[in-house]
Amino acid sequence: MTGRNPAKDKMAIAGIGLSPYARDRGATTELALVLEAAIAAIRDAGLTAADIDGVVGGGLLTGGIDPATVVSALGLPAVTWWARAAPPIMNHLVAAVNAVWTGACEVALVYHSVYRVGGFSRSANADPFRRRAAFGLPDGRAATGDGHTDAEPWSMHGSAGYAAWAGRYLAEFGASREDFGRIAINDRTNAAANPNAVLREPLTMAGYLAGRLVREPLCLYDMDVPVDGADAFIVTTTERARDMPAAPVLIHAATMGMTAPPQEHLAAGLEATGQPLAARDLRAKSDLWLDDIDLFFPYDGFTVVALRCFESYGFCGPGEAGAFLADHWDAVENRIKIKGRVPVNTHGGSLSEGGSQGAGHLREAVTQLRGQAGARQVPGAQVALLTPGGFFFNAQGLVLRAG
Amino acid sequence: MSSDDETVLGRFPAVRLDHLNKRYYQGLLRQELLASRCRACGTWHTPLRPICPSCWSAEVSPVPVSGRGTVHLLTFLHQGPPAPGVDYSGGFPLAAIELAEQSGLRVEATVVDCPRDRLRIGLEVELTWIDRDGAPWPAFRPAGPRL
Repeated sequence: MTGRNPAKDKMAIAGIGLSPYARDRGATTELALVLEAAIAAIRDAGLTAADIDGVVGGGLLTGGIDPATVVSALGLPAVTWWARAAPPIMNHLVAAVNAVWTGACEVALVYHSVYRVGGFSRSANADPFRRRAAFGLPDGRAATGDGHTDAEPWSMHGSAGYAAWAGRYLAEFGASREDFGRIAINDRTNAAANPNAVLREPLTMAGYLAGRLVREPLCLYDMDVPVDGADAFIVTTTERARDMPAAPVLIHAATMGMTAPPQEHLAAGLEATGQPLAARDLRAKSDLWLDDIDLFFPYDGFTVVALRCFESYGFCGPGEAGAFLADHWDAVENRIKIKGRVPVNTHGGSLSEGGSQGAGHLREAVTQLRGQAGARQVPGAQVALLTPGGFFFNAQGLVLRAG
Repeated sequence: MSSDDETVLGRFPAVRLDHLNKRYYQGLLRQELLASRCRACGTWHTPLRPICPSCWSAEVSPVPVSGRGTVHLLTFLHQGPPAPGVDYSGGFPLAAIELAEQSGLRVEATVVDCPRDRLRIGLEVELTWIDRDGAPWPAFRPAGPRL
């Protein structure tokens, strides 16, 4: 952890593109989703294929589309830097920022996709082509072969680990499932104003508590909703971005955090995971902090991750997030408004817009900071705090500002 | 290839066995739960690593653990991939057991022979064995009185 931040505000997001999220996009391919988002982002930035000289991307379930495939399909004539990135989205974004900063490329296309494959959902399993899209994908057991080798129901790798730490959070702090529920309800309320969200019906606390338990103590509403979809972003220098048509959004500070042992079942405690490390480093790198933000995007692949963000980032102390949310709950709007002002996950987050490993949060933050969020626009929004990723292998932090 | 290698490869056909982790799985076949111990600094670790994560000594080797521990993390899985002997209908328990040998030394396992209302974080447990895909697999049950 250095606290150094020489690229502060010098890199910008100059374009965004979306391939809309849906529970089931039907007979399409992951590549088609990526290309739809990529072309939209390139056009949004006022660019053409010849302007793109950096490419970085990847997705969760299949590993995503290789940069070489994107270069080929888009016919990019001259690419000087590329990399494949595992989600969450900050792996992609930090790589792009570093590449532009060092001069490896001038304009980076960043893409992230989610594509439901066979074995992942019933509807995906019913599509023989999606079943085949899962060919060659290792199960958790075979993925690493190092003892962190197993999948459910024998291992806590992934979702079960979050459920297990949610249980420990409840036990350690005497918290309640209602505390998790406020994260889910807030997301669902916000999703109503987001046409890209796949779950938009209001959720009540009674409805939340009645949700089917999947990985106890987590229920259906505590876990992100699987979708098909893709996002793309254009990253370049702020100087260059100022000459482009879209209002630039400046990357003020960006961090990633991982601590040993990162495995879910071995992590020393929630206070010792990558999440507080990413938070501490972001605090050291950023001139803007909690009192300065207009938007907060805690990652919510699982409710417990978002709840803990309020503690790791210093809105409140350990175990106090439930009380904090109750204190900062706007009963009229049925959502969180920190200090009556700052909304949380304005697009509905992973739980209601769709699970996209932080890509949706990043797109929404940029949209808001450009003032283009329509019915859900936060008036005059200038600064956003994002915390993509979970506790263990993938905690990340980001401060964006309107340029 | 030794006959021990042939045996472990045959008994765990779905595991990406390698020249290190095979020793853990060979232990399972003997109904021994192994963790790695460093002879230089005395620290235990799981999973097996070629060096000690604490002092980087290569003087590490798998040693059977006592099998005593406590439930540190616990979830109940109400759905999941079909697996022989796994019943999700009442919530299949999956725990991280903190072993008595060292703070933070943990293994993942299910808990058996324990009524649901007794099973919680902090429960003292001991090692037992169940069958998984035709091979011995570690599980834990409420600890009996110490002899």
